[in-house]
Amino acid sequence: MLRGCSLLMLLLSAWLLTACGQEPPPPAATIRVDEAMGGTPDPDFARAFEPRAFSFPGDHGPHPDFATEWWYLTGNLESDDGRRFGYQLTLFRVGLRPGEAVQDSDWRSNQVYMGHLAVSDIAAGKHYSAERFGRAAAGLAGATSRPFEVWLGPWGLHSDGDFFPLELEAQDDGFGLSLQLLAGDKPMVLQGERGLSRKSATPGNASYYYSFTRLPTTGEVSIGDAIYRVQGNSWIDREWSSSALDTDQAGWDWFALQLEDGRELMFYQLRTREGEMHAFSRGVLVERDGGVHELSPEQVKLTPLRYWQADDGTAYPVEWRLQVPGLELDLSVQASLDDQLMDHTVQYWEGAVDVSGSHAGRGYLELSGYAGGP
Amino acid sequence: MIKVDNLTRIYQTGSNRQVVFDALTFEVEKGETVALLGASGSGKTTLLNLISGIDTPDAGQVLIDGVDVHALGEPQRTLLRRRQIGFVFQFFNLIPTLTAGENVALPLELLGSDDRAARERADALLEQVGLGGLGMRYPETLSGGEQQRAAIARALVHQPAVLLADEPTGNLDEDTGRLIIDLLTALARQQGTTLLLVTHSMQVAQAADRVLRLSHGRVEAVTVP
Amino acid sequence: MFSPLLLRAGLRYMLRHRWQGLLALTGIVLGVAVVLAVDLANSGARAAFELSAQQLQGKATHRLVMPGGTLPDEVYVALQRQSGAPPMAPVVNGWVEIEGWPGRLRLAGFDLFAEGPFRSELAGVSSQVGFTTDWLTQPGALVLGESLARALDVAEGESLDVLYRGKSATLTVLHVDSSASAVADDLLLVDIATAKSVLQMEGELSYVDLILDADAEAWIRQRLPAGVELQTALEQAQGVTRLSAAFELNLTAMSLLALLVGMFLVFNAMTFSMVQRRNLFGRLRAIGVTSRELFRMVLLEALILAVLGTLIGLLLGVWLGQGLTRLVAATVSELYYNVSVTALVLDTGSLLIAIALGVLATLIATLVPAWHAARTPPLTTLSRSALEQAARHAVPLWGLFGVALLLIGLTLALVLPGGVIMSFAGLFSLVLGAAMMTPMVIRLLHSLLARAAPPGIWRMGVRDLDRHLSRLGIAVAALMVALSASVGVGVMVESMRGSVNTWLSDLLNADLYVAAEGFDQGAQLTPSLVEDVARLQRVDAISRYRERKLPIDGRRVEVIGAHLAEPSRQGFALLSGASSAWQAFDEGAVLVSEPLAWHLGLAPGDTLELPTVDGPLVVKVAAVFRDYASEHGRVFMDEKLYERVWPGQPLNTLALFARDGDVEAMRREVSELAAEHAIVITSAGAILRESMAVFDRTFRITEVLRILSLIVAFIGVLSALMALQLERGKEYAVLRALGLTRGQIAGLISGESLLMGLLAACVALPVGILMAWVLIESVQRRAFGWTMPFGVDGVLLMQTVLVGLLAAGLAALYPAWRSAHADPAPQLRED
Repeated sequence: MLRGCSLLMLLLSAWLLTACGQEPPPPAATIRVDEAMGGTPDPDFARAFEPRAFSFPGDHGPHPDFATEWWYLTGNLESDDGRRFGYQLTLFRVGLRPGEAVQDSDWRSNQVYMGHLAVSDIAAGKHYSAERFGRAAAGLAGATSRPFEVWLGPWGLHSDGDFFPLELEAQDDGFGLSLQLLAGDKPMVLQGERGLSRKSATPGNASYYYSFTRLPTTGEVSIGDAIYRVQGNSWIDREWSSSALDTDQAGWDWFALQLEDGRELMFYQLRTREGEMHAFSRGVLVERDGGVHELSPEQVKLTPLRYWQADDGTAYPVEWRLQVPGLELDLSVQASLDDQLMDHTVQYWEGAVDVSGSHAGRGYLELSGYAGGP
Repeated sequence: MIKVDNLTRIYQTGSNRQVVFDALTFEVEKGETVALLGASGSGKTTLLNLISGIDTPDAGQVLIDGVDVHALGEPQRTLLRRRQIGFVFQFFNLIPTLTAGENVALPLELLGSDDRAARERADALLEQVGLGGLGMRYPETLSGGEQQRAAIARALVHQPAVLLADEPTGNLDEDTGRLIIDLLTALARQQGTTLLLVTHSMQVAQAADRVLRLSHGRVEAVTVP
Repeated sequence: MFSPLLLRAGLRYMLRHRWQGLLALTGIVLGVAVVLAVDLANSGARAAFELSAQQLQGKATHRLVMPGGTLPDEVYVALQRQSGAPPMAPVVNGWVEIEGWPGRLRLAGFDLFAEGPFRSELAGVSSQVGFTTDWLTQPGALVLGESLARALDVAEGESLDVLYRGKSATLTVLHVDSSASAVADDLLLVDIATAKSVLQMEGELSYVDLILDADAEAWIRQRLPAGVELQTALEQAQGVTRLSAAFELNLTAMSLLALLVGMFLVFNAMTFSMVQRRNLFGRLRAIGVTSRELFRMVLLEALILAVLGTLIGLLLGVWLGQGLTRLVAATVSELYYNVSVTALVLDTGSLLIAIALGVLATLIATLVPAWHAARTPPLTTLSRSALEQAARHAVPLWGLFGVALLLIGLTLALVLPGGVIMSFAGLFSLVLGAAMMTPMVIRLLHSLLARAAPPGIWRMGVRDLDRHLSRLGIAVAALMVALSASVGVGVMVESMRGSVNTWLSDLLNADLYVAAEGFDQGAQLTPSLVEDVARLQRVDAISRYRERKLPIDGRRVEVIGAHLAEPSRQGFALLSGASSAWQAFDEGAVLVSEPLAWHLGLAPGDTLELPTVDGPLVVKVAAVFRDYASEHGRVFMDEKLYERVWPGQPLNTLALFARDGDVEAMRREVSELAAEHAIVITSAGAILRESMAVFDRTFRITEVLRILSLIVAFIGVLSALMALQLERGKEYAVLRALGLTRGQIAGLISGESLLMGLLAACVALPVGILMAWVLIESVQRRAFGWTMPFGVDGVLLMQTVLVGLLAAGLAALYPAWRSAHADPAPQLRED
């Protein structure tokens, strides 16, 4: 999955431009952000040229040889009395430079972590979100594989075992999550070619990518002073790479849907600058028993049906028709809540969706590259 | 017009007591020109100061147009001087930082007439006293006679009821002095102003309708030859 | 109804008597200018301090500190990992030196990722792609402000070597910030990792900034590890501003002085122009101008003069203020840290005070003369002599009033309890009272002189002075104020200098001092060196010192753990508790410096609480010692006690006494150790010289201001003399006509003037000494808590008399020349 790959570079630059200064970035700086997005990471970083032999639990931990990496968690939860919540916790690792940092100080590191946390309180029509950064030094942020842990300040994932059961802890000002994710019945899904996910024709412009598509989840969601006991299903994407967006790619629409019949559908549409579906868009349908069907652009038809407009005027397609005629899927995907905007250093839309049509279900949708420019 | 009644003024310095006047009484009619003749130190200037309210008597009254000058408060006395009395001094006493024209216009301005009107009237009067065209000059650039003419114009510009002149020729040569006295008396008569002229010179006194002599604190009428 | 002609007459008078108008204007201009300039310099220095403090503080409301030390990394790391932690930002900073650069610069290390809510300007400078990467990953990456970069002559990409505790580190300029307010002039901005490396603070933080509301504060307090203290931003700000208190006090005193001299000048100038015009007023009164009209005319005229003078004064003041501010900045830079005052801080307060002085003081100063003018009888029936008579009658009245003010001043400053403000109020009242008394004192002195003066022209001069008391009195008083202030401040500075010198000489009685290189940045001696020194043959006795700063009652008190050799003990000037003090010291009691004792009201036998990790340590006060090292206070305790409370802290300084007095032999021995240890070996004399140089630099601005106030007073005397002598033109013409030569006239004028200067100086000496006494006993004591022996320097007093005579003599030059050369004829003719 592509999310965050170049986004991270962009976020870091943009954070310094906007979050720290009170003024919006000057036009010249915006152009540089654009350049940064198309720019290639330092060639000394390792690249994903061919499928690898994954080894766990080691591969759940960090891969500092690669420029970027993330632990991407989303899920749909429901309280005991039926109150619906969507959640997202993303922990990104970015390698600023390849190799070990000059060790002049314990606080020096070439690795930086960024985190995004969001909770959608569907019934109340509220969406809460927060962002954090930290250097991977002095215990401020980091990741280990045994025991498994990824943390950024008070936010983090950890497991006493190899990976599951996975504890998620993330509190922010006014909302938070405290969840336990179980392995469930579904096996791990290796995306693309045995876990190698190509993003463009350029060799090495690919990532190592695997997913857990249905993880039974229990725990607590807190909003203000209220604490809700919840249960539901989560989805984890793990991806690392040293690739960047191709110049002809403007953004993406990413669907992660858990159908009631026990199957899951993942599809990312890379959009060209003309708004067309890019040839390297990919997806997968996971059968009840874990069997997978890979989906290519020719098999999938995506039609935006309704747009929601953010305060800054950006229109996000929050209602879609997703058709896979070959698999007899004709789904209507609707945002559970229109405003699930992640308005931080970089603006994107990510939120819980309801699935209806030929099959019912729930899922998560990410819309990126709509706000001003790329 | 001017009624001096039982006026007494005594200077007391330490144990030294000097009686300037003792129960001085005389009257000057409206429009009359009266010369007050007296030697140096006979109290002529003191008398003028008492009449104008500058100095205060130890006893007696001064009535100007029926108003008891010394019964008035200080501000009213000043206003009385401003409206009713014009002064001509031996040392001219023009305001050195005002031009001749401005000096003449000043009393009018103090009475509240507007600048333009005051200047026109001042210019007219300067013309009358023979200083036409010299209105822009500062006092120190004028001769003594010219300064005194300007002073006369200033004293008469607001048409006071009473004009007090203290040795107006004292600082001038004889010829100029005569011209000044002629001018003064002529203008006073023309405006119907009561003129009290203090002098030590008999020759000057002759220009008056009536001459009084001040000596030893008393006034006596003098027959003009 | 107001006559424009009347006003015109008054203003034309000023134009006509250009000198007089000009001098009146000069009085106002100078008064306004000096007050504004001093105030600007003062607020400039304060603004520099505040900007720096504010920038470092950002939006933080609280700060986590470890009193007397640094904060372990773990405290921050553990807190920030807990759910519900409020915004926190770790900071590592310290002072570094740069070769060839006077003063020190603050190296501040931040974690940009934590800075967002705190110091947005600082974080905002990083507006370049690749900045984050370089800032975070490149050791020594540096951001600094444009003006500092220019001063240091470095550009982006160039490197800069900084020195810390004797170790050099190379920084590379990543970015020069050109935005107006982003980076203060004394800041070297680096990533926290770089700061830790350069400042050798691995595992330690200087402090952690926090933004807390009541809930968050409670949250933090519940989780505070032992020994860590939560301070409010206010407490922090007080700490920072305290640094400059001594300096600022100095300037405030000078500003007040300028205000006083300025007021006198204005009063002087206005009185003159009134007295001189009595004739004119008489004529106006005669032709019917009322008292009220005259009063209004004079006030209006003064107002016009005041507005004009104030405007010019403000311009001059800003110009003068720039110079003074530069001087202040230079002093601050040398003594504390680098400030370059690029823009003048025009604060409203300074401007308002200056405008108030110019306009209000002029009007108030005009009220009395205007009242006199209005009361001018029509025509000048009162002669000059009668006028002088009236003035003479007023002299004892003014004198009595002056005595009362003087006594009130002394009571405020010395008897009543109160702060520094009260002391200054007292000082102000004292000087004002003394000024009012001046004419009376002159009268008394004059009556003595009149008998003593040789006959003839000299006696005439002496008599003249008394005759013209109404006008000269004020001029003499103005000169007196300037001279006495000069004496007062001079005596205070000299007394302090003498005291500091004696104190330092006594205290620094060891032969050599050894400290680690970079000791002024906190570098400490290694234990191996201490052992090596102890083994040296030529060393007879050693005193050992280690120190830390602790917050006590909002003050940053230096606590020194010392092993004191016998001669070191003799260096202490014990003010109280002398007899058994050292025995008590050895048994665990402490020595408290005078400022701390004064502020906490401590006496021998009292107890003092020192904050430690394990809660307060209660110690007994053995004695109070004289100390000027820190206005915050110092506490000496025995090494053994210190070690027990704060174990394992290396030594800061060693004081060595040579065996058999052979200092050179010992120095050779110690120098050999310098080869393997980074140490500095200094003799007591060198430290003393350096300290006194710092002292003199601190008071350099005082010197400048003293001279400035004398110049102002000089102009006051000049204006007074000029006006007087010009007015007396006719008198001199008569004297010339009577056969006095030009030389005699010039001599008469000069003699009178010099007499005036002499009298002013004579009054100024006792008043100045009294001022010094108040400054030392009240102002210094209340501000800093220290006392000092009062030392009056004869040379200084002589100087003052000479300066008074010089000012008066110079002021007489032009009037003397002019009166002597004036053609007497026209003056005689004039009325």
